[in-house]
Amino acid sequence: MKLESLQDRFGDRGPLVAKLAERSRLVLLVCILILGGLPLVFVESILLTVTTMLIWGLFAAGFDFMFGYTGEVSFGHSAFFGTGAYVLAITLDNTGISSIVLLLGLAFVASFLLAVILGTISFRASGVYFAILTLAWAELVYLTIRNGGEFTGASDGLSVVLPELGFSGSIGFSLYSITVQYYLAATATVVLVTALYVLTKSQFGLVMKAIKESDDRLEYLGYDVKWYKVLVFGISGGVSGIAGCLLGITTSYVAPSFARILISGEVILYTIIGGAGTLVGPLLGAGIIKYLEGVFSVAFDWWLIPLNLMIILAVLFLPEGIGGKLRGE
Amino acid sequence: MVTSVELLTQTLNGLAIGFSIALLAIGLTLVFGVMDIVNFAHGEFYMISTYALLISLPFVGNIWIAYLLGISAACALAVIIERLTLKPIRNRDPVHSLIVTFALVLLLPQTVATLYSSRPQRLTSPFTGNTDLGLFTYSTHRIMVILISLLLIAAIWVVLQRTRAGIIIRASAQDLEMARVNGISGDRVYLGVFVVGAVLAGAASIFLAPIYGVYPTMGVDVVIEAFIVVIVGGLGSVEGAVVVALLFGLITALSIFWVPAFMAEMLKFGFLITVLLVRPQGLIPMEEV
Repeated sequence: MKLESLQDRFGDRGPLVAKLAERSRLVLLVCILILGGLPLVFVESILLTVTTMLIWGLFAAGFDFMFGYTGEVSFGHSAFFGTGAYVLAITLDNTGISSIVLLLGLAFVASFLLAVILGTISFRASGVYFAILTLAWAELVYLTIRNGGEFTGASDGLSVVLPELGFSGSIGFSLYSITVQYYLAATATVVLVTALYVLTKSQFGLVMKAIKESDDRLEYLGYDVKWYKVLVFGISGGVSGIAGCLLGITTSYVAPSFARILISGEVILYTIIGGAGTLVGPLLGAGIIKYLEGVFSVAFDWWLIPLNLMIILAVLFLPEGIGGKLRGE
Repeated sequence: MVTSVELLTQTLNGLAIGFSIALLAIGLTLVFGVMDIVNFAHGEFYMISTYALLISLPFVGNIWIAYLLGISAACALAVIIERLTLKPIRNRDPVHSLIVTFALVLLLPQTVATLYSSRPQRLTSPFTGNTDLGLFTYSTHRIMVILISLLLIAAIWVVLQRTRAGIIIRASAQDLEMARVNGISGDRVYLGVFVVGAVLAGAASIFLAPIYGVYPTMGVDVVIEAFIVVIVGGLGSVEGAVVVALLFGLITALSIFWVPAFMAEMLKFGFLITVLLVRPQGLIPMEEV
């Protein structure tokens, strides 16, 4: 993996982001410190909110990895989110696996594979066509979960009996503790978003951006564009699966509502508001809106109206989003 | 053992549903063919016209007047959506229109639920009772659904094939640039096609709603089905939309004899996947220029 110089990459963008990029390792360190120190300062109820913000932020970042960099839209990410959650519940129910890391890994693999399969069928078509198909797949997964009988708990969902988060047998942390859940979510988010970020800065990331600019030209240059798109879809789906799995841990149950299409819409909103193509933007977008939802939670159902009006206005007037504005676009 | 009466009944059921979905699918496929826009919110025209019908009925007394008011409401919504949200982003990346119409799908049902009611409602059909068809009696409502939708679809077909407006629409679907060169106003065609689609979707209200029920997300459920029909039939192809809609209607109705309801849905998805792999342009693709 050849990493291009960060100056080359960002020198021509807005000064704020250029500075941040130069010091991205420093920014990362600061984030880790802040996230790590949060539980020392704040009460558990606030931690719970932050955990939710992080999980959805991770989900949005995963979505942005595909949407912001290759330009392909998917309305089916709810399928991967739901798959991750159900993999958690079903595995715990039916096998003796108790390692959380392994479970998260399984969630990733399952969602990744699902995305790869669906992507292989769907990427025969162009962007718009592909997007419609993802909607169909989301519906398919949702129906499968709802009609899965005892295996998936049908419309009632499954409750999750959480194992302990253990390290080599000696220390065990109860995953029912909000603080532990917080650290798990924070670690996962930091690790995964960093990994995605590194990918976008690499040769692979260049190909992704080239796909957005002109996939025909890329094809002529000899790249197998479809394979790249499928891989990106897979990674994006896999990360979404981990987010779903984490949410299942936080709520200790999974339900078909984890896979409903509305969820895909939410993630798209967070990404657009935060600014597609920045990974961090969507993460922040998700965080802010989830926080606001928490504040306005009394009016939640009604909240969907201004929320979606915001998407429409954002697309109409602010196609580059907040992250884009920071980037100087 | 399945009796012939049961078979006939289910066949008619399948046709009734198929024709109703066809009304929605035709609008959807035309909009895509002409405007290259994927309108996820297409089902919302059906929803709005049904609710408008329901709400105005106590005031106007006559269900047919309420029906027309409902269709007008769908029309109005179409104009608002097209002018305010679709026209400004017309020349942008099509992804933008996808997101905008998707947001509308999340927004409109919630608006109705908040402003009116989120509880399911009932719409009673103007055609009550059963008709004696000789061999058996069948729901009058569904017979009327089949007959009237058939008439509407035939009318659409005649309009598309024989009238000037229809030729303009088909020309624009085939090649908008050339149509413009020949003096056709792209802007008016866009608005016109969008409204026609909305009217058709709104017309389906009195047919489908008494069967499927009235609730805020009724448009969403129906639009996904319509999309699958449109893709399998061929984007932009009216014939494809009608044929596949009938096919799916029959599959849904007839499969209950042999498989659980869920399997019928899976069968349709199976169709979708097969068509995508084997014949992605659809079963009856639009004529290419």
